[in-house]
Amino acid sequence: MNTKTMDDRAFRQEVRSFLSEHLPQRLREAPRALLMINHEDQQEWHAILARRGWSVPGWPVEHGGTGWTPAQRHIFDEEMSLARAPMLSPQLNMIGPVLYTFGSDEQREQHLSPLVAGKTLWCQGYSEPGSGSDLASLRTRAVRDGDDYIVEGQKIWTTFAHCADWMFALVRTSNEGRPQAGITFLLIDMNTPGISVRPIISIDGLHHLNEVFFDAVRVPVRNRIGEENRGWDYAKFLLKHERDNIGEIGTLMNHLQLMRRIAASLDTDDGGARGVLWRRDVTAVEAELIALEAMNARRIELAALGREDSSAASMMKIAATELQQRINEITINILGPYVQPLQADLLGTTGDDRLFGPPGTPEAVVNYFFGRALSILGGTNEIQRNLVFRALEQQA
Amino acid sequence: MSHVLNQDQQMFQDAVRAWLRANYGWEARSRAIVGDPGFRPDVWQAFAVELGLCGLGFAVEDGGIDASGTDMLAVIEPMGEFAVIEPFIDTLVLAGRLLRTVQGARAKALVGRIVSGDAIVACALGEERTRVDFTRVETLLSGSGGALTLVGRKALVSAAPWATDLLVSARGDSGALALVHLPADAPGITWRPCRTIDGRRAAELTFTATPVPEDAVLPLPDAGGVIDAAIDAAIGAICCEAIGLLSTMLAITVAHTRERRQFGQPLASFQALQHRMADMKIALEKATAATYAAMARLDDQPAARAASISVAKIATGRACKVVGQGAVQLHGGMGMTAELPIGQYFQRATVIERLFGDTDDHILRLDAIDNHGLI
Repeated sequence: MNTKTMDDRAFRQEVRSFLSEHLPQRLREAPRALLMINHEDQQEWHAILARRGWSVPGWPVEHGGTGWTPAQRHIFDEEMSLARAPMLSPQLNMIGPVLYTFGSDEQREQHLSPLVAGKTLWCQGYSEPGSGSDLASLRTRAVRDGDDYIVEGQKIWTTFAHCADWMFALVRTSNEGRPQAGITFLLIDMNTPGISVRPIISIDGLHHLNEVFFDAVRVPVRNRIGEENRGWDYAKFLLKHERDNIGEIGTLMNHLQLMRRIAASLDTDDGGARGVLWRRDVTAVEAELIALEAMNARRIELAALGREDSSAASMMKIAATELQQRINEITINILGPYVQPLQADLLGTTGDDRLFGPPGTPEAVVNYFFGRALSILGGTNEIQRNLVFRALEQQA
Repeated sequence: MSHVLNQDQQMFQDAVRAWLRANYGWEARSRAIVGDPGFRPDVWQAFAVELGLCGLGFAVEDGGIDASGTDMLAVIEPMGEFAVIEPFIDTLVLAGRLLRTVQGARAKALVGRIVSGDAIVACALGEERTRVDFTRVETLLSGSGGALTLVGRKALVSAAPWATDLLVSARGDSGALALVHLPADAPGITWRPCRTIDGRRAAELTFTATPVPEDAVLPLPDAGGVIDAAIDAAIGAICCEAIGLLSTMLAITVAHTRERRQFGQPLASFQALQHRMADMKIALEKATAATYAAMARLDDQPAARAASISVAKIATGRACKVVGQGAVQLHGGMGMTAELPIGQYFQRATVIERLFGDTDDHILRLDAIDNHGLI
């Protein structure tokens, strides 16, 4: 225990000095809200981490992972958050595990090292206009034509489709049997002719969502993951990683830190009474975050023993997303009337003199509005609650 | 005290609603928001001329209609239903109440221009630290006679970029509050305009020794009391707007869940979603009733008025959260886009919850009023 603690302390020091040396001030100060970051800054930081071998800590060592203990990974996340390092693309830890678990040698060869190095950006082609929670009802078709599939249809809510190099997509290759049984998992080069991307402005006032249209898009059969009509299995595997990812404690810590900074900077007209309520709110969510962190740590330990609850990922997704939404909501309560300015108009401007409200206001407002998506994406929280109960029922 | 509209008020409301249904389509509204000036001057003219709404806050002898709180509710609720962006609260309610009792030629002339639809007034009252107490003013009005100047800053003044006239609160050399009327193009004001997330415009105004003509200081014996009363009227008015806005959100959401099918059945057939919509309805009913009660008491003595307004704001703030967040969740991805009405209604509900004090601010304000409640 003691040697371990010592090692952890040394490790923390190592991470800390790396960050102080290599994380540029410009990137620390970049707006860090969920999806508000400019993807070029994000990829720049990704490349810096990759040069140190730290861009994909949780992956198997042979694919670029670090082999760290859970405690070390936790320390790393904590230090990244304290240093205000930009988040990496959330797609990284979704497509990566699919590629190294189910990808062909050729696919791994082509995609894994650019992904680890931060040279390619991916987007996720799952949702369709008629298929959200009921994802298996998706209708974008892929019809075999020689060595290609010809893809026809439409995806929606596709984050960063407008700057992604590749999309991983679920497409329908068969109408036989259960809807889940006719789905195939394809890797699609976003530069292929026939793909068009239409921006969707979201309720935070920004552009990160898109509609993607496929008009006779030819995708080589060698870009298929695994077998035809088995895509649902790979998607379920990936969704589990997405749920893990959404529950990232580091993100929650960032948001809590932002809330603290804003609460500390605002002076109000009430002679301090409001400050007492804010401290209560901030401390209450902090307590919940510590409990959530413990829940996550226990889950990881149980998983190592093979005793993980079958709905653990769903429980974490619900607990983490709803806590994050609560943090975001309290933060804009503290901002009060400063929730108003349209932050999209302030993008590209620099310096606090462009701000309305205290520093951190743009991130806080975008976090709240876009954070409403957390209980929708990756399987709505209603669906997750169904899964939790189903597991509970089976255990009874 | 009534919690429903009387027959005349109902007819008035139906007329406003019918006009908005015919003339306030979503397309035209959306075009106005992204263009310049950012609202529809033709709509404002129609409010004044066709509907006679611009006299809402004023006495009959000033060309107004001497509206009671409940009369205002009748007019404003449909404005919320149709997500009207024109500055009816700033100019008709807030400025209206500020100017209602002021005497003098300058004030009377301004009232006349509001009633005819020729003036749009923005009220520069809130400052950097303002949450709910608009009488804590740090902007200074110094000097005397012909050499008065304003120094200070007003935070995010709603509708200022559209205004022809400004009403500015300031503290005089004696420490007493004063209300200053300036044309919007007065020299010595630094403007930082912005668009807002709810499709409106606002500006931060900095006064750097702005010259103030002597007659621009409006003759008010108790400016603080007048500001408090006007702010309470404005809070009541955004509650009226909110109950209209939220009732539309709930109706759109119920329709969506009946229409949208997942897993081979309408979303509305899932009990978890039914219960969520039931909770949204209950929150809205509570807010509606509290708002009716508060608007009926708008002319009561200050403490009773303030207490019932805070209760309405608390209930309405919670409804904005419950109905707003619920509507987005039940729309799924569609709730996340700013292109559909539901997203834009949510943006406005989110702002209303935090304008003129949020829920916690009003809990504290209520707590500070003696005999504010039932026990």
